Amino acid sequence: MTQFRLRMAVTLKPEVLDPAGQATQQVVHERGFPEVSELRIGKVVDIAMHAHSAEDALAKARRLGNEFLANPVLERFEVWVQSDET
Amino acid sequence: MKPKVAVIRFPGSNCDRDTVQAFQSLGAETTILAYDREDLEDATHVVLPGGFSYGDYLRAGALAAHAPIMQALVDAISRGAIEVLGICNGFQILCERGILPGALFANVSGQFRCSWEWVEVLTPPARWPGFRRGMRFRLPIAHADGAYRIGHSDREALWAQGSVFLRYVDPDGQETGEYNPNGSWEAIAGISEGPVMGLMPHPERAMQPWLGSKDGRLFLSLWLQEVPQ
Repeated sequence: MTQFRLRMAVTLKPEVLDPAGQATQQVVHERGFPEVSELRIGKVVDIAMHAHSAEDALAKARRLGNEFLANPVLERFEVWVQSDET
Repeated sequence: MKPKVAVIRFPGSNCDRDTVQAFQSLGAETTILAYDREDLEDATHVVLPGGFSYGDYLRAGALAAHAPIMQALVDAISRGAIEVLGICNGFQILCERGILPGALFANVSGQFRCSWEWVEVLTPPARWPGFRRGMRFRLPIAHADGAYRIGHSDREALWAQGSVFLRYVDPDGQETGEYNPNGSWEAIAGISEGPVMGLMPHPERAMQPWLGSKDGRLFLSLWLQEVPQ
């Protein structure tokens, strides 16, 4: 078994209003970056797990994303392999 | 059968004792059950109280939704052995576990809202006939994540199943932007399905006139299906 390091980005669906992102964007504008036209906040989840293959690790992480780490009513996620360590 | 109420205490619950006191003041035998139990003792009624279980980490209610006692709750619901009420964080937990449909999301204002609100029964729950359409309650809210959301494809079913229980209204019973304190879809304040009810307002904080309202007494009595005192 190999240990894989994966990264999952959980983001709000585009149609979901993001009050935290809006508040942050407001302050970004006030700090002198008026060109920022969109700012949305999500979560990054770093996962290490032992698996037989990268596909196996990704499949498990996707299950985890679907069942728990992301709420499908509000969020979507992407997951990818960062590195493996034998 | 006399009701036996159990209030589940999660790490970070903070309305558990208020809730116990509220039900005791209605004459109901009430105890606290810890989140790490795997049974519900002999409870006939279970309340998931308000608070910030697990510090609202990941999402409000997401971690408590998978605490050990929750499997016992799911099993008891499927056996038809129990009635369930989720208040505020308890409502969030029920949605995160998938026991109630939808999700509670950050208030559209971006602010924690702590205020007195009017809520109105939109659809009387089949399980609790004492709640009649148009009945209004003045109850406090205190939450940052109270905006009710549900996927487009599930909205029709929500109405068809009669699950849209409570909504925010003004004192005249009208739904207005001002009286939608968190930006909930359809100003929804509470949902009920089968033996499960969830709402964001806190009836246990409205038990005496000197608290600002005693409408919580009627609300919790109707949930217990006891004659209000």
